[in-house]
Amino acid sequence: MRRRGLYRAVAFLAAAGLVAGACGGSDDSAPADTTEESSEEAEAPAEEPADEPADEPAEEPAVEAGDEAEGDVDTEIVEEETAIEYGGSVSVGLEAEATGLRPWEDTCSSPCYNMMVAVYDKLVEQTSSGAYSPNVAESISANEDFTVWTMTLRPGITFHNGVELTAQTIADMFPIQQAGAAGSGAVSAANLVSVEATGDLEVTYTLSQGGSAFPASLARAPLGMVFDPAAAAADSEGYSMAPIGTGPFVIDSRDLDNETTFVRNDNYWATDPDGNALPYLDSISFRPIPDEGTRLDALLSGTINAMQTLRQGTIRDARAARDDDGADITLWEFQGNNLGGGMFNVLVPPFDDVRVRRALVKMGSQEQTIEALGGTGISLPATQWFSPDSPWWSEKVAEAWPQFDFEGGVEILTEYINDPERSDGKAVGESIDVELSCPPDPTLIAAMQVSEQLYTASGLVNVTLTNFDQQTHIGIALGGENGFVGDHKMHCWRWGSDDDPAVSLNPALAPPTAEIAEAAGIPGVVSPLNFPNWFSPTAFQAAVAANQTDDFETRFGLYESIMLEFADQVPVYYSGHTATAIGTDTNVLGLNSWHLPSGELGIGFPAAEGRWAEVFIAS
Amino acid sequence: MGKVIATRFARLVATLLAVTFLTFSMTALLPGDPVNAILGVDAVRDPEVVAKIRADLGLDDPFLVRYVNWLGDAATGDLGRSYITEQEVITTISQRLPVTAQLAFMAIIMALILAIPIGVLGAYKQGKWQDSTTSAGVQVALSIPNFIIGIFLIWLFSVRLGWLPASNWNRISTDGLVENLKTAILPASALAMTQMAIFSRLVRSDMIATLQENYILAARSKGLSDRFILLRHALRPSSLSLMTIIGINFGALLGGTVIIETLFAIPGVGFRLINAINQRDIIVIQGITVFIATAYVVINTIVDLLYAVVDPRIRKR
Repeated sequence: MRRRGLYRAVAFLAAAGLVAGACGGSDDSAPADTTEESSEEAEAPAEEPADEPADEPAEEPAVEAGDEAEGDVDTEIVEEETAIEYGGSVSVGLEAEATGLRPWEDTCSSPCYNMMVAVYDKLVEQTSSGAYSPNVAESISANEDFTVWTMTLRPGITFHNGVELTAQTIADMFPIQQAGAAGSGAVSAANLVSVEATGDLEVTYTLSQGGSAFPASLARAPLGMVFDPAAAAADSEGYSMAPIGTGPFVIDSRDLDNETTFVRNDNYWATDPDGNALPYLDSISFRPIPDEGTRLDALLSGTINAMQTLRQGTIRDARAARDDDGADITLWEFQGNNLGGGMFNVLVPPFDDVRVRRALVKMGSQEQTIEALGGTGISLPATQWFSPDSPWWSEKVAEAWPQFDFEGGVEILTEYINDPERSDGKAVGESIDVELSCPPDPTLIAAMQVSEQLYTASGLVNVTLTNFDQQTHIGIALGGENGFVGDHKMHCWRWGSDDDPAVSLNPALAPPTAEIAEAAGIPGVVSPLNFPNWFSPTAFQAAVAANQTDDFETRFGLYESIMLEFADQVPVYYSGHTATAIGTDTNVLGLNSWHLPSGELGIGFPAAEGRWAEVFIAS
Repeated sequence: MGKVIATRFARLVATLLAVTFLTFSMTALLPGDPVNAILGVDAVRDPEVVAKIRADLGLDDPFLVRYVNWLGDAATGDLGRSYITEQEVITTISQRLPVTAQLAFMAIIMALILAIPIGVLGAYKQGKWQDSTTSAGVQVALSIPNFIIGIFLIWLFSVRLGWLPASNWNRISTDGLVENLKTAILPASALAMTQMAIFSRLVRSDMIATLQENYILAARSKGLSDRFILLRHALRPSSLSLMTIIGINFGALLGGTVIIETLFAIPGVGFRLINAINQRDIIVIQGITVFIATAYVVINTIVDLLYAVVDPRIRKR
């Protein structure tokens, strides 16, 4: 058996059947940048991972603007040059089964989105440059203060059941979205108060607060995916098993936990830029295969001909199979604005003192953590919520983020420990207590142990490691029973997405409690999604301001200022950007060259979420 | 016999009460809120929606009230409805049970086909090289966890040889028996290896004892062939312990194939259970646990009753 097999065995034993999720956080993210600036993929010198053991800290080089990690080979989004072919089937291995296929109701993550985008179309999609562009919508525009958005739909689009899509359809979707488990949160986040049909194909959205990033909401499942409201109202449960959309594929069969098959929608409205009918494939099926190793083996053995992964270790193994063993597979890799790491609960001593947070970040080595996570040569160290090839990435922030400096961290922590007024109430000179918690994924445990070794080596920190399954882990941070402030200390988490920053970042900046909101003079503005419970009036105001203008330079400056505050106050810490991939047989093409109706290239396959309409099998 | 059945039934009820109460207690003690799993992190920002869902699901009721309500429904065959998929638990189980049962059945049959000859050979050739060799092989099979065997089987038969699919399940109803067996053979084999090791050790030790019996010596003195004696006179009385362990292990396999089903992505009861645990879908966890406990106790009761069929001496007692 190859070494990979042994790793799998050990990993499987350690995980004991648990679905080892990434380190918490929501995967509910339809990715991509939001601006009209092009993202540049610069090739830069590779960074050497630190070889030093954890107890011999080394200087860690800063990431330069435009850097890519060694081996970070994000697949380019380009026009496919191979001649398209019709027919054939693709079988995709997903990391989990979709809990349901109702955009307004079911909490979705990357595996589920792969299925949903086959059957549903979004009103708005993202281009390869990250801009939001109309899809099912033909146009969308806002009034001056971004409180009223007018959208015109494309004519002649019908659902799989033959029902015509009109403006009234979108209006009728709204009450269902308001009542839906997934939709209600999206409605609330977008400050959406009404959706009206103001013409046969014209829809007017009214927001309670101006939102320049509102189109981002129409590019996400709960508000952006078009469903038949009459059918949904008639049989919501049935809709989950037999979804009806306007998308390129029609549901054929759904065998929960085993296989869901979609067949070509012969009446699909969209064409490729040459006017060829879509989709190219006859059918596509999705199979949940939770074990990462089995999913890769299924691809290598031909059991399936495509698979997704959100794990660096699997990308590493797939690369090895391709490069060392000669496997005929293509890896469609993507490293966007999603990163791992964690947070400090700043309401809990000693993390309420910024010196402790700074010290712990300086004493932790991202390079060694990434190595423990299996991401060396795959994932970049992070300094902010944006990857170096994102238009939102800031060199200033990269320089400001506290780099690995063990002695510097010890010095800061010593100052705290010797402070008679130290916040944790311990005696002067006593070590601080740090409880570090992650889900029980073997690689995360290895990464925790890196931090533990470093902190313990300082002689100033008593470290306790805890592991709870992913739901419990999230629940601990979310709280709920204690006013959503959570019961966490130092907690693994996942940050960011390729959505507009207003989607991923703004909710994390609002006051975490009613008391804090009251004190800040903004009563009633409370977000349970501020997991670190860190509140800065300036960062919050910057986030609000960024949602009230569509000028990129202004917005960039505002988000840069927020990230600079993060670098100074360190409510969160990072363990590298998240690499994701879709692996396919080499003759499966087109994942990186799907188009919007405008002819622009789409965002690609962020978070291993493929668009399958323009995928074809080359003979 | 009636008294035996009544006793067994009382034991079944007591066991199920204990299992359901413990499971309910343990899931209630877990930190976190099932509503978070239903809504997802992004959607919990609306307290009204959270409150409505909690009220709809009765999550605000005291623990004992929830337990008694659930128990009352369960007694009428209503195991509730999944918080996440909204599917009825009884439907969830009935859809997945045939898959798990087929795997368990195949594993037991494959194990017996290998275990009986190995056990008989070991007993017949006790102390000789055949016995040492088979014992060593059995020891190895017993020592290796079945998921390691599963990973090896995938690597060998799927990745290297390309003979069999690495994952998922072809249903007999839609894909036919041959295609079904292609997806069943590897996971069943992985499960069978450990069973085979247990069964063969049991057959060997029981048969060694049986071969010392006077009636075996009498049969030998009559000049009957060794094969006839082993299969006709020795194997049947040596199979009582085997039957017990088959019953216990079949029950365990019905609920205990979680790892193999997850590894091979088999849509069985265990796969659903692990998903429910990860999704904090308490109603499904509870329903499947009760099902597993029931299956376990019922199967063992049946095995106990079968003793009387196999061994007339027990029937007379």
